[in-house]
Amino acid sequence: MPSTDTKKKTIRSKRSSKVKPMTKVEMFQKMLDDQKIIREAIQNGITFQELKDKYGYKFATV
Amino acid sequence: MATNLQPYKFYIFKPDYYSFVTASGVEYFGYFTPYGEYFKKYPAAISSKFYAFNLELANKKLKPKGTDRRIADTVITIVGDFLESKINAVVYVCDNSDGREAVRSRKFLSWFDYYEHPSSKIIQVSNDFQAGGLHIYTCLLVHKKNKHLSEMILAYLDLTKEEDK
Repeated sequence: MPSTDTKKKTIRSKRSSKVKPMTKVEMFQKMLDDQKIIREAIQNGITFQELKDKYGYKFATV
Repeated sequence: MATNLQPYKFYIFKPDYYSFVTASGVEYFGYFTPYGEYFKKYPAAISSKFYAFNLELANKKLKPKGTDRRIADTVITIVGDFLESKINAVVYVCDNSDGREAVRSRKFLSWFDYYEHPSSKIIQVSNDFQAGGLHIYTCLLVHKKNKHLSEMILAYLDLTKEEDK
């Protein structure tokens, strides 16, 4: 039977690995931030392909 | 397609974006980004069909002067085509980086506020609200024949509902 300490550690590590959901403010801030980053990148000559490959942005297939 | 629209000729740079140039030589890029991450509590059939639409100047030094109705017609055509699949929904969140988000919101809403052209197939729901000291202007566009129409409107209204204080 594992010790109580081990149990505590296991629970703690599970909790810390759980991704905290974004608050509404964080969501809209992220939307606006992403919009701004993409806009500035495009206006500085970065291609959509680079935005996908290097920066991990996704675009709908058109 | 209705005949009263006079969109600019636009190009589709598959698979990512649209581009058009106005009569005054201003180039725009239009694109859609997935918004599923903001609708995680809904089934994938709904969450994965939400997209943001953005329209950007290709060159920030070349800005449009005055009102050019054909830009609106072009955007209506592009967004209308995207929604024609009847499975996607588009959320527009007004850029607030220059303090002109309210003007931007009014303009965008007016573009889709016409009858007798393709936008009449599109339902427009708008909601603006306070979040963390910011006033956020948003709009949802969805095809009237989208089979998840009511769920998508409810999901959008839930997303844009002011948080309880």
